[in-house]
Amino acid sequence: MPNATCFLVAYALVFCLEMGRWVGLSPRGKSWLMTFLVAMTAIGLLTHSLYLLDRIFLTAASDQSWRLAFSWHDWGILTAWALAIAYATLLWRRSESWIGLFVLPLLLTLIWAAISVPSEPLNQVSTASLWRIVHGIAMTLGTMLVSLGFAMAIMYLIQEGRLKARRATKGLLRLPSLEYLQSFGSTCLLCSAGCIGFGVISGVIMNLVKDGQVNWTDRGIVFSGGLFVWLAVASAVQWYFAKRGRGHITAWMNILSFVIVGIALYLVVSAPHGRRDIQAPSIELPMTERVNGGVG
Amino acid sequence: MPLAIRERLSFTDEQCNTALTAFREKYPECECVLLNTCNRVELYVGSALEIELPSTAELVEFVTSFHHQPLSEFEPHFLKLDAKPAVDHLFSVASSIDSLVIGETQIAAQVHEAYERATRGGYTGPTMHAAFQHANQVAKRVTNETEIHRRRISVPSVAVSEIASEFFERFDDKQIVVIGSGEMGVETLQYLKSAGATKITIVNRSIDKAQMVADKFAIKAMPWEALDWLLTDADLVVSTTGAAHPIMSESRFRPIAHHRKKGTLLILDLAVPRDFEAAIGRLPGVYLYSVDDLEAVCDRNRSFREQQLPKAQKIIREESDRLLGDWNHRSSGATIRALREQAEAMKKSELARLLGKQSMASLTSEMHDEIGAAFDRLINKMLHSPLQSIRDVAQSEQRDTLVSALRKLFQIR
Repeated sequence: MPNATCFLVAYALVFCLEMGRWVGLSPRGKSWLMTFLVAMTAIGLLTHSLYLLDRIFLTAASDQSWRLAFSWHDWGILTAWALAIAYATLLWRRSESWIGLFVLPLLLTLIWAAISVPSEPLNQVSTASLWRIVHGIAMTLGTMLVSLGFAMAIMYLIQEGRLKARRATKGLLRLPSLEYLQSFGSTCLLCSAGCIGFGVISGVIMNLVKDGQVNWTDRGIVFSGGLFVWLAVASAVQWYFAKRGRGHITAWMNILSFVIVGIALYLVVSAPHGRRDIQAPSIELPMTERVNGGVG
Repeated sequence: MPLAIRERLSFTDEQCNTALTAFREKYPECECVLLNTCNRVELYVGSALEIELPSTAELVEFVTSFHHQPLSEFEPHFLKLDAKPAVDHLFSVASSIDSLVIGETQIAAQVHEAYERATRGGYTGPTMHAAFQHANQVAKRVTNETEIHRRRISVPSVAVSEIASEFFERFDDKQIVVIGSGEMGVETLQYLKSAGATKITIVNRSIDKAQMVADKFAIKAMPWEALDWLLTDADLVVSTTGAAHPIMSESRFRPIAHHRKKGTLLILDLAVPRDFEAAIGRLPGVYLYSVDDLEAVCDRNRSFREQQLPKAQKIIREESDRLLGDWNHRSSGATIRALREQAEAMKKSELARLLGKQSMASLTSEMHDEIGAAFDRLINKMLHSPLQSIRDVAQSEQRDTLVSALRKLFQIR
């Protein structure tokens, strides 16, 4: 079974190949480059998926019980996987644009961060496991969308800057149109707010189901809630200005959201958020689950 | 030549006619064609007569004084070409290998139009007829024998398919305003329609002309007075008027920008002189592109076609040599004819003297013909080399020297 280094190297090679687009190649050379790019992306995604499957099911199967051994590491790898899927889709849909130059560094950073954090399961058994999964997936998707929105925002600002300066465009660095970048960035921001909001709500429900109460002073809950409020405000602001064509507002909202998500994630990961269940009394179930990432 | 210079020296259609008339009054024996496009102002001058043509300084002075511009400021920007380089240049221009966008078809039509205008006014003669008609043939040959037009991109098409596509993902939901219903405006409309644009409004000083174009493309036509109002809701503006001064100043545009319902406004100012003041492009949310701004995009397109350039240039060289050869042959025709007549007279005289002798009386008519044919062959062989040399020489100076020497050697008057 592959380890995380396999797909990290594969994505790093994909990034190098994306960089290779800067080199002036003949049409034949470009065709070969694209073939390698697609092949390497496919290898990266395959090994990434196998690694995730291994973490989710095979490790659990070896324990002879249905257990989802999710740690911060696994959530990070899952977020990276979602981002890799988004990149592969963009490569397929808009192969002429060099989106990978902006998405792949985020992907590599995310994998590197996931490798750096401990891979021990956060929780043991909980009656709120289903809500934990929902909460974790919603937060994962939200984080992925904010990352993608950040990449779109950077591309937007570069594209807008050079279009305003009336410089040659497609020949030097091929980027999608301003309209596409603004629309995609706006969608990312709105959807990320939705996902994070849903993640916060599912976390609250999880706590209510599990403990019958919510610890509102928990650092994880405070930062998650704060993040949602920010994303909701940012979405409203960018929606208001996007209607008036102020794409750079959307871009800056996405960048700020990314920074805030980064800080919030750091604070949440460094807090005992999601680890309380280790000490908490557990209820034995026929099929126990180990999940993490819960608000409470 | 920078746009700031070109726009001060460019001619409107009306000015072209006035300038040609003024040129004819000043240089009555010269033929003249004035080519004025968005990227060039060219004055082609020639004569079939043996006269001294106006000097570069005189021509520059003519153009600058016509526009009431100071001579000293513009003189360094003029390029003078004579004889073969001038013909090569004309053929390159007509074949569109000297255009901002190599291979654009618009320039061939503009060259033809310039020639037609000069011909209608009676400003052309044998020299310009030969040069411009040949230029048309060269353009056709380059089109047929190379792939230089395969990626057909004119200035409007670059504006729509290269620049506008950097801003917009789709055109069917965009409010587009086309200002001007001239040739450039119509060509732009074609590209906009093929890009999927549907919400297009054309504005022109003459509403009748705008309506004609609107009917042709199934779009809306609006009176000139509606321009400001249209700009408040536009996503894309393409301006192609032939106005001598900007139609939109910054001070006029500011209130429009204030009342705009949308943020991004792309203005493609394809007119020379510019229709929109450059300062408008500095306003937030406004992206203003002039003809010069297309150059960078055109460079990339040019590189796609560069592979075809050597082939096109070879055709141009061949054709310019052929044209100059024809001209040389024509101009030396009188000398060649006189030489042949002189030789023919000598042959007849010598033949008569020979056959008039008593000893030749017994010769049959067939033998007379044989002797006549032998004399003809002798003359042809003797004249072949000098006449071929005259035909082959391409440079006018060399040709004149040879013709002059021939006239002296054979004492032709």
